Amino acid sequence: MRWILAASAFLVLAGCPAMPDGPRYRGHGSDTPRHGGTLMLADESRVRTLDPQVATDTVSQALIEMLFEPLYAYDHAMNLVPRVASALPEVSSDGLAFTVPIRGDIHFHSGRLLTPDDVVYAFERMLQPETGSSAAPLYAAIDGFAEFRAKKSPHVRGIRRRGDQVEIRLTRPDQSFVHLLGMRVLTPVARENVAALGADFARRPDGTGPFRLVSWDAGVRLVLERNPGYHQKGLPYLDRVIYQEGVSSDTAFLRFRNGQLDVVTRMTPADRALLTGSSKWRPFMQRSPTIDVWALFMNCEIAPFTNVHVRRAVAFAIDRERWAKARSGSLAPTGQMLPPAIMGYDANLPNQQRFDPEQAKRELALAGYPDGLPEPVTMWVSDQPKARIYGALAQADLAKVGIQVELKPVSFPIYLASTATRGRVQMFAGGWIMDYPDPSNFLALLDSRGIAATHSNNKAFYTNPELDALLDAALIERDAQKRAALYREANDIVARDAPWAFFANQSVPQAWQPYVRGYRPHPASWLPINDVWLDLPRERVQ
Amino acid sequence: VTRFLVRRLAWALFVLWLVVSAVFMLVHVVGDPAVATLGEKASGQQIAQFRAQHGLDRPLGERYVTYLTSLITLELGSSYQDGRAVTDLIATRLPRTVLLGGMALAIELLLGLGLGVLAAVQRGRWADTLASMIGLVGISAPTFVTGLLFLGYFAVRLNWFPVGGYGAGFWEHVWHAFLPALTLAITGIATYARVVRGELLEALDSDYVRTARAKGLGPFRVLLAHGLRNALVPVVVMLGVSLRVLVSGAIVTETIFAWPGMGRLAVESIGGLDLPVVMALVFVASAIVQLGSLLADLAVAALDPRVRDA
Repeated sequence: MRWILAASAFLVLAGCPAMPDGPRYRGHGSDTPRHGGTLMLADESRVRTLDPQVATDTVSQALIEMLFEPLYAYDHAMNLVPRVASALPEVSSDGLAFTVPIRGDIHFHSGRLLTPDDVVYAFERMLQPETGSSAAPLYAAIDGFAEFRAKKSPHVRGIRRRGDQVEIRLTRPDQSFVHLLGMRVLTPVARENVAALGADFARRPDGTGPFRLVSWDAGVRLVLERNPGYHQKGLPYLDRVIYQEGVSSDTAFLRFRNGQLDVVTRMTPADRALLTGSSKWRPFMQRSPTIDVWALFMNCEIAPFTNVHVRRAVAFAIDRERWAKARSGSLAPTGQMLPPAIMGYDANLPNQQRFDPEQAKRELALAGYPDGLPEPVTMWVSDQPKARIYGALAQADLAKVGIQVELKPVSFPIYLASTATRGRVQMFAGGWIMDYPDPSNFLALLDSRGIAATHSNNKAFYTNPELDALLDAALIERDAQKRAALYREANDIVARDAPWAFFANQSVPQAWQPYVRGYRPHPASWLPINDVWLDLPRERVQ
Repeated sequence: VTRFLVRRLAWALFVLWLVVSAVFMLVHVVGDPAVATLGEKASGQQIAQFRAQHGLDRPLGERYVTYLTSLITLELGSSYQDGRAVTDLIATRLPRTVLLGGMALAIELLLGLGLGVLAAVQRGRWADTLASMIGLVGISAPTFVTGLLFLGYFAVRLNWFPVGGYGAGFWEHVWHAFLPALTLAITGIATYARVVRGELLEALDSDYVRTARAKGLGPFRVLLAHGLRNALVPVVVMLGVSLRVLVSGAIVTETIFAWPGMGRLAVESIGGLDLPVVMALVFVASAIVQLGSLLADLAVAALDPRVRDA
């Protein structure tokens, strides 16, 4: 009997089809975009809100992009392109007024025509403190901002409708303001819809985008269908989009390999390695060019990081290539604050940080520690897996030059609060993902005026009046070349003084099924599906 | 009987209070929900506004009293993360977890009892060995390993089941719940099989079974009426324990299988320090476990007068 059992178990196992080593399905073979089909998407995160003025998380913003048309968007080269606006903003000669012309052919899903009043309404709604938009403080340069926020005025003085245009006036010149017009928080919404639905607006809004919401079974899935009245004729190609919430990365990847998911954006290092190692998958993968920077933050107010040479020693001790390998190719090494797509980046920056352990030892000697630091430094790491990996990598690299690192694991909420509290955290690994593609959005993180006792914007607590002055000058400089030169100089100062020891820009691969056509990862959009079409019927190959 | 019931009920309420109070204190020291909800890009002003809006700026004692009052009045507030009413969230998620747990319990009992009986009857032979092997694997393999193995094998490799998810419509829910329920049930199957096997072997060796056989009763009847019936008392006790395992196991299993129940809600809420949801889930989960233990105790008391009179 035992033999029969063993033999049947063997036969069952041997008879099973193997796990597919490439895509399970391929497309029909057409090269002409066609309408139809359902795109299946999934992620571990829950969609928190569909309110464009409030959403800050990647997933909510991705769904909002499908449901709403923003004022401006960015193309793949990060150029601002008009969407609800009909052209790029016109800037007055004093640099204080921005005029945005509004299209007259965009309708809400309910059928109502979108007007410039909707643009003004969304702007003011975002600035209202009760709305709770975290982006509101970025718009402080608008005339009447403070009075409106303090409820001393029912409207923002500096935002007005003028015929089919909206004019925004600033109190001081701000060359980054044009990028603020490209932020998704300014997406126009229908006042009557917000008023009628109240809190429910965040769950079933009336949008203007390529898709409209059919249903949202909270925690399970959102079903979207094509908006036949979308203003870009012929788009979108897809009939439906189903976004499944709360699917862990492991499960999502298994579904993807099984052909039950059409695009996969988050993978574990092992899954990434599996796809990149397969020649069958490689044509259907591309790195997502996220615009961000990751670094070891050193607190310039806590010894030994009060000494610039100790900070420089850390920056020279990091073997960035090794770190990139440890993260299975999801990191592109860097030694400067500004990412490649941002003005002021320079591949040949004079003080660019680099791996040079001997120079690290010399810097330590200059700081008065020829035999290494006498005391270990404490590095805080959150409970996120990649934070623990960065901790271990930093420990190994810094030990080689004479800096012992003790890791202090804490929960993510404690990590978030503590790293922004003055005098608390000596060192941690952190990063910045851009809000808008302007160098000021990165370098302001080291502006000394951003230092606060709690919730500090400047988490390295780095003070340099020279840098502050440069940033002020660059913010109002209207000559693009001069402005770029100012930011390049600021970028170089930061690399030299090393309040952050930069190690990478993220470069996370995304993959899609062979029958998904027109999908192209975007630097500022997580799931860019506007031009996607499905080459159906798909054919099973494995 | 009434005294026993009152005593047992009072104990259940005391344990419930103890659990929710301990968790309340714990979650209020692990971090700032305002920062966890609004993210690192939020300004100090926004954080202060959030804290005031949700009463997080009030003293801990005051918040504790408010929390206990909210439990009694069942006004559990709304989620920090998405603003949905906590009672709505629980009302949506609880039936899904109950379905999953119910299926797991059914599988546990069916396969556990079946294997246990088979192992006892076939003592020392292949069925006994198989039951021991399943027992060993079931008890020692962690849920996240068996879950991923089941997914990889039955769903991806063999393509027999969906790769996680919930489906649309009742029968699709049941279909989607099968693999996670099996994963949840593995430990239970192993435990039930072991207990039933042990109890049955003891019963089958006892004098009263020998007497029954001597009186000419058939082996099937002896097994059911005399053997299995006596082996059922520990099974009933274990049902209470099973409920505890199912509730805690749901956290991992629901996450792996993307099953949108209370377990996954717990993972999402704890990660984001969504206190109203976390506290409500702790309350509901403890209440379920307490109710399970209470029912198991009552059942045992009904079956065994010695317990009732103790």
